[in-house]
Amino acid sequence: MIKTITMFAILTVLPLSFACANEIVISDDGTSAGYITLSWGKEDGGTYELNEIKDNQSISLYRGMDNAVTLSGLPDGVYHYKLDIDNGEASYNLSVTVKHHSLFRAFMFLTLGAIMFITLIILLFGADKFFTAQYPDQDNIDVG
Amino acid sequence: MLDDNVVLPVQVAWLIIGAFSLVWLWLGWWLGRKNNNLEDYMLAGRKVGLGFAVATAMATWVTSNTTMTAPQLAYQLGIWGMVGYSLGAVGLILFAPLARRIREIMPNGYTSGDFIRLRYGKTTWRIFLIISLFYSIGWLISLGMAGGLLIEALAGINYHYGMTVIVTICTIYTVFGGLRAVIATDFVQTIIILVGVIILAFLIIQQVGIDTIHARLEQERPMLLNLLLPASIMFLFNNLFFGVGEIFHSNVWWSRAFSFASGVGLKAYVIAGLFWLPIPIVAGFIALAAPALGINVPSPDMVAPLVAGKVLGLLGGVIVFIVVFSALASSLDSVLAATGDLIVRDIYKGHINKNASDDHLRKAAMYIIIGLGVCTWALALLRMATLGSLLHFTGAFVASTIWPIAVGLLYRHGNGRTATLAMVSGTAMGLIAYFTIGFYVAALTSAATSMVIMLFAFRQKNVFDWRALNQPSKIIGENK
Repeated sequence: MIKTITMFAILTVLPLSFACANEIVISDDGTSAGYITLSWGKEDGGTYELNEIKDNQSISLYRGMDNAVTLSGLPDGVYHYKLDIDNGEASYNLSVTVKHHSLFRAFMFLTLGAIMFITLIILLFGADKFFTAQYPDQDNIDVG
Repeated sequence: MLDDNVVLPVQVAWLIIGAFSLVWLWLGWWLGRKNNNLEDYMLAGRKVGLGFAVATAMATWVTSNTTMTAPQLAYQLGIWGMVGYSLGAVGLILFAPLARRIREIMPNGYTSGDFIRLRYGKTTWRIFLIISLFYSIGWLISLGMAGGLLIEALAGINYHYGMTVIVTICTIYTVFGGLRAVIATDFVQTIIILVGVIILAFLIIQQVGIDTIHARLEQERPMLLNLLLPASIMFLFNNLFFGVGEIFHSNVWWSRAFSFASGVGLKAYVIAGLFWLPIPIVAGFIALAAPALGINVPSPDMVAPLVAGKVLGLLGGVIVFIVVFSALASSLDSVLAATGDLIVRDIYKGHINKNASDDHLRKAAMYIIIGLGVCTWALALLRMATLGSLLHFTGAFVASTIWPIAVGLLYRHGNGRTATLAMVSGTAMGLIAYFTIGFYVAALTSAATSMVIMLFAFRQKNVFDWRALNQPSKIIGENK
């Protein structure tokens, strides 16, 4: 069982958790939900600046010694990021496409959830009377 | 991953850890002296009153997941992420009538496994045990990880040291004191959590301001305020059913139902659910202040401690540290004790040593809790996933048990074959949804599949005889 947990974790998350060298990677991919965590390899004493390149302009998102940034609340679109290391000694680029699920799919799941919730409420609080009426010879509650 | 955001001096962090650890250890030792037999150790003598019952239900459900994952989901999925997380309270409230029912039909029961075995047979029981243990280990790892992350985020202490200390302390006092110690420490921890969260929210609103938070979100992260954010709409009922699945199946909640005095379970779970409801919203709101404060969030599960530390400095760091440390301990001890019970009775006594005496089982329970602690520590060392993704992965498993348990407890219809099929198919479909769509639909898909199969139970002619649940000779290890 423990092996199963480890295996699933390795297959799903671990490959994304460690950036190679200083390359910038998506370590938590929520592009269909509007969030991503970008990370990069870390060197002692290194300083990093993450910029978003938009309309040929550079917008600073983070400057400091951390080796990851989580961005969320992103609308649909293609985002270009540039990581500068130690004031431009090296730099890496990454493009990310954010595409949210369709509202149709979202409301399908919402409707499914609502139907299940109502069914559960009926099952827990109301249906014993219904089924007792349907099967009068079977007592649904008493242990006997 | 963190370098820029440390707010708590290392000495202060170790001082808090040391002081609280001593209190929990002392309580564990002191209360453990009152345990005279196995029933005392595992079920606190089946006499827990309303006050302690509410406190333990609430404190156990306020976990690292509430104080750290709720903010993470608010940060990732916005307003509905925060509200969706609070729907976890529904699980507690809906379990209230089941807790009463469990106490009525199985006055001599010990574990959720007892019920599944007697109600559905051994095959279903074994599948249920796999699901339940998988979930418990996942929960324990997420708690251990949360401890390490918290200490690293606030004090810059290495993740591995912080995680090791928290797992070790909780394991030791649970071993000494059994469920009695777990419930008593939960009572103290509930008070600390409630007071701490209220103070934090008040201070952050006062210092940052709702207008500033809203304006910055609107400018930089508009989708977090969007009530039509598709992923968060999908997440709403997913989290509700995940919570229901966690509570309905887990021995953490069943052992409490067995341990509460007669007539207490229904009221205790309803009150605990209502008290719990606003906590994720308050905790989640803290995360939404991060953009306004210009805080970098390297890992989304650390957002709450980072915001509190940034806004409130040393005071905020201390409050968050104490609140989350209490929340962690209150859950870690409960999961250790309840999972230990499940392994002792359903696996050790049920499969390995069927003739073990109560004294032998009590010793075995202590060794098993220690083993669980070591296992948790070893797996948390690997730091394999974010808290949210690790936790929701288990949602595919536990949500498949909702309908077999609800139908099995309240209706005579449904047999082992139907329940087994419901759990296996639900888990499989939930995992497919997890990998193909996202973590935010795994539990919902699993529960939906399981529901469709269990509804066929009502077409079956054979009905269950309730008396089979209340025969002392059928309960594993019960004195004949």
